Amino acid sequence: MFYCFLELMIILALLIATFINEKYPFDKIRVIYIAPLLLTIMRVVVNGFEIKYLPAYVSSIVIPLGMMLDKTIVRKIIAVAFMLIILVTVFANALFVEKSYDYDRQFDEAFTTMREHYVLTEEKGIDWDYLYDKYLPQFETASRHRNGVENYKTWLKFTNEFYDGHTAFLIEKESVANKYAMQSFGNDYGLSIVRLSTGEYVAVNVEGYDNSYSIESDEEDLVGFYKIKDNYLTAEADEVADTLKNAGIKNGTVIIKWNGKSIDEYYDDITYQYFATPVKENEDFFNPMYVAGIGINMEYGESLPRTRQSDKGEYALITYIDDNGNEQEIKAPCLGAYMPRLYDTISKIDGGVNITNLTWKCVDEETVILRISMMAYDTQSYGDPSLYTDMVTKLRGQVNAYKESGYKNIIIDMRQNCGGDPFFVQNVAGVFAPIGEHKNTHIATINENTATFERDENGKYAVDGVLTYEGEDAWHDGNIILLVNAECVSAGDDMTYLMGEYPNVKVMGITKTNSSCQAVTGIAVGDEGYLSFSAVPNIDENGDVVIDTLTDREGRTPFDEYIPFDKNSVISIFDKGEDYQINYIVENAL
Amino acid sequence: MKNIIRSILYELIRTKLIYILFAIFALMMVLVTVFNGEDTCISGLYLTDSSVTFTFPIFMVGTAVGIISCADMKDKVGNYEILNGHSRLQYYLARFICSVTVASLLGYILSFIPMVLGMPIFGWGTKLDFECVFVRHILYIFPFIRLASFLACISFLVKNSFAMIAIGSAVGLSTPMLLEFFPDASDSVILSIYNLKHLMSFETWEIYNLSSSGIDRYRSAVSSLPANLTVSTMVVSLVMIIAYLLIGYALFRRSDLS
Repeated sequence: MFYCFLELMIILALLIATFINEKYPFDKIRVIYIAPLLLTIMRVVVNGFEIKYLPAYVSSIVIPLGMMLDKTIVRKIIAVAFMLIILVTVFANALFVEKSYDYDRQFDEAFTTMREHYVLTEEKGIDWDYLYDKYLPQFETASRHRNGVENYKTWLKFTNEFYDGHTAFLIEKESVANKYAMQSFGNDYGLSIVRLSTGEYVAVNVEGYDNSYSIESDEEDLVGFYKIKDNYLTAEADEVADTLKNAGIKNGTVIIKWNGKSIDEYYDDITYQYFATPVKENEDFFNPMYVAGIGINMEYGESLPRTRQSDKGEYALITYIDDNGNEQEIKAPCLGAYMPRLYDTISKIDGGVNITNLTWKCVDEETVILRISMMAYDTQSYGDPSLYTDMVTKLRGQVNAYKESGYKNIIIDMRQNCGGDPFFVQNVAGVFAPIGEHKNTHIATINENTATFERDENGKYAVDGVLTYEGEDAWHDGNIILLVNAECVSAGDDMTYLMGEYPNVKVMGITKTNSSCQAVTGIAVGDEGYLSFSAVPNIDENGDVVIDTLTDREGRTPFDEYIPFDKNSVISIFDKGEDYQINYIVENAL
Repeated sequence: MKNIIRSILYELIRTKLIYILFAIFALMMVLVTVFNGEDTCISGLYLTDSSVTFTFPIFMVGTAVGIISCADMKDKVGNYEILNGHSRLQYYLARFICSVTVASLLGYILSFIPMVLGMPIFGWGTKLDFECVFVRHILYIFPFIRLASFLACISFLVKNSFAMIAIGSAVGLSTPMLLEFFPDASDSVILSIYNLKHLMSFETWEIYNLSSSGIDRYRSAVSSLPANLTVSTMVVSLVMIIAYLLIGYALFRRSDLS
């Protein structure tokens, strides 16, 4: 609009100058006729060439050329006519076109780069041509509709095809990212669904109960969904919020069908998740949660309809078993966007002990928790193995102090560990590793001229060396439980990979680790997006990729024991607000 | 018009200021090459800071245009040419052609100094393909002519050598600032400065690898020149040169000669 205003001012100035010049002839005043051209050049330099402004570009060149004409009347007509063209072009574009939507071009560029540098193409059996043909039309549709949410969803679907926790599409601006997410995971019908270890599907986080997420909650979450949730509430949300509670549905109520279909019938429709779950078992664990956002007559991910001309999405038809063991059916009204409840459900199941990274918390007289939520100590040491001496000294001292105090068990809580520095991992692991030298990751050979990693004739990565670390065995006589889950990713996977093999370590969790541990890079997508993907191989001595899932989608980090996810766990987590997993380990695994 | 051009060139050959300026800017280019080339081979210099190849040449273009096209506007030489039967169009074209040709050539020659001087001293290196960079460099002539045309167009408005030298210097000084403040615009070929930058910008890929001492970083670049950049450089330059030529004449044709 700034340019519209400027353009308008210049046109007015031209007109005024023309009339003044009539009255008071002054040759140089005609220089002002160059102004539209200069402004146009400035605009093109700053915004780039846009075909929709072509009439304005041409006009701004024609106007100064009119100065060569002798007849004043012709000059005036040309100037006014072409100035009108500029005006119409600029205003029409500003008012009706707003901005260019070139999602398909953004996809094309990012796809080309990713195809060239993604390091798991063979291992994951990626068919790039198939993906391009499948998704380009979807991005073209999003461009045609000028639909940012559609673009976002298409990126989520595309990245989900890689079943790789490092391949993700992010919107950099938090407010836009949250807005898109709120419109991408369906509608809130007052509950989430989980699948128990026994195979039953039960309701959790049901609206109206003390520890559940509530549409009326004024708490704040880390991501910021709660801040904007009220914008998505339906007009009747307050009145109908307790529909499920009034019908007797509570945390643990068995859900038989959703909109007339069994829950697992929806699995193929879940084409993207809030975070990637490369391990198939993990994906199956989270899928029911996403089903709970699908309204009647709606596709997965469709959001609340703006117009209520049909019953599309207005409710979800839930078939459940009541307290008397009878099958019941209820229309659960739409309350708003599902994302905040989904986020809350995942957080309650996956969240770790809420203390600072690398700090300790005693559970009882024998067991202590070491929380590791990220693989980073400080900004100086990140990426530099020589700067971890202080951290290791401190950690060793703490371990020895707990040992001397009679503690026998350490639970290393790596739930929702977002990864970080591999040198942090090997320094922490070294404190607990058996005495002697241990191998961490092997280094892949890089071609310095092309900055790409080389494969040998068998298609395996060429090995260029290995990272090693020394074990201290500081907790030799005690037990170590690594508590992990599907959100323990990247360097979190790496630590599980290393420590899972130590003789006194047991890896446990409700879900397995994410299994995504190639080093990651990212590229900008348009002005607001960012595409991350695996770009540096993490390999073994044979050049085979380690940790990441292959085409079978099996987790490849050590895993010893599932923590059963049963009705007791649902009651413990969603009704009592307890840390069920820690309690289970203390009571059953030590 | 031929005689006017000959007279301008005759006068120009005897103008010491042009030689002095060229020598100073050439010396600057030598120093820039030597100091920047110390840490890297010349292909590395082109990859990391290609603006050293055109920043001082832009100064040269700006000052040369001012000296050539405005030289006769103070001493009435132009009036005598008109009195001698030459048309205003001939007067204008002769000065436009001479100033644009000489100024852009001087700038163009200067821009090759890092390549010509740096290669024997530091070697070309492996960061970029020499042939591709050379072709890119050849295309510099188009934005240099466009810049010279723009300044020539302005000179017929200003009609003062010293003012034009100041304007040329301002353009030269503003180059690094423009590139710094509006880096995204370097994809554009509309402004000659950005066209120069765009011609010597390379699609790069940066990645890292782990080593026992930490994280090592690597960078590669695609040297080849995209066809659309070649075409757009030529087409936009030609269109803008013609536009500046016409606009300059429109400004000049009915104004006083001095």
